[in-house]
Amino acid sequence: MKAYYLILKDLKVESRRGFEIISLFLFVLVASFLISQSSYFMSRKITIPAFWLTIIFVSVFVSTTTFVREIDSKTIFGLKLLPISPLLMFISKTAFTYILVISQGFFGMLFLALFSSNWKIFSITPLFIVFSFYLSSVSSFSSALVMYSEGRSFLIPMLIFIFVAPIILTVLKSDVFTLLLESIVLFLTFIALFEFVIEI
Amino acid sequence: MIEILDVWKKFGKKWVLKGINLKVKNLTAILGENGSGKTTLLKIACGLLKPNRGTVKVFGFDVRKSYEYKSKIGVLFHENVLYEELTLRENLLFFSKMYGFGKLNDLTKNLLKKLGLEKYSNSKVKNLSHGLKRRANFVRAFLNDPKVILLDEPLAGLDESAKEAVLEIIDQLSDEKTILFTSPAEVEIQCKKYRLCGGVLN
Repeated sequence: MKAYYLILKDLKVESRRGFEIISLFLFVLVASFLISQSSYFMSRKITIPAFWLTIIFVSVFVSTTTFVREIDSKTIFGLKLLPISPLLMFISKTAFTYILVISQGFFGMLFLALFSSNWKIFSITPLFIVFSFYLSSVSSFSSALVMYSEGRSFLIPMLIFIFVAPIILTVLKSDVFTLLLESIVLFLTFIALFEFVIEI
Repeated sequence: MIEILDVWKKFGKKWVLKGINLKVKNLTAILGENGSGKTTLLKIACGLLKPNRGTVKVFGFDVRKSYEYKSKIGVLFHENVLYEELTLRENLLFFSKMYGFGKLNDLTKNLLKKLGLEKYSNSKVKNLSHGLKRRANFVRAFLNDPKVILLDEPLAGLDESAKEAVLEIIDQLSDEKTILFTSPAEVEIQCKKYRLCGGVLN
């Protein structure tokens, strides 16, 4: 129940920062349009990889709204003194990131399908759902890892790309099962490490 | 009860706290100039900051090794820890729920009234003045009806009437709660007073 309250609070805060949601939405819209045009003039093979890249950038953006924002606004002090385990804190932030990444991703797929008149893009939905989970845990963990660093806005994208690099081939091969296993292993590793990261 | 046992803390090469020993059972004040280490000591006392040496126990729980004590402790920070985009009421309800209460307790309602915050309940925190934010953060520290309360400069940024109200509240609650607060200047309240100077408590 406490995880639910944490997620709800984050969603409420995010929804009241309308300009951020709108800019993220516009980014997805413009990126989808450009991808559809490129695939029309060049090759349809680039559509899916370009879409994955868009989703990675969305996760980079969302990572700045989780732990990084908590430390920027000093609300991390209040959060750290709540009687909740670090595990609960990490899971709720990952769930919040997942909601944002997956909603923006679905918009992206919808725009891509509309702009390129190619509804086959929805065939990647299972892979997209698992990849979003992977990205959400990477995004939350990276946000927590660098939140005390002054160069966090530079470090977060670097970290996310480093964490995503090992699974790029799995994603491009559309191997959902392997990606799911890798996502679960990574998520459990992050959970084990998170307590040390937050207590620094 | 808070036990601060041989706490040492340094930033860079400078020792800010040098072997602080303190047992707090009732109302206790730590006085000291800006930069004397009051906030550092309070952050160590609530478990937010790791000392280089020494331990802090709240009701016997080591604050660096457990989080059970967190439901028994209330802390007022110098910083605003309320969410700016939420209203005051939404903030207080969120924190109450996180402490396991479905609604605001009587103590919180009473404090909101005494500090004149009732009419700002539906205002977003970002729209409140600095003084009102300080009052709101003061109320937040009492949301879980804590047994131990740590207040970092509770009078800072408040007008005279609010200062009086806060001192009155502290005085009233000191009979039933353990309260440790800091102040850069002398305060007119009956309590144990220590002075933090050069990293040592006198």
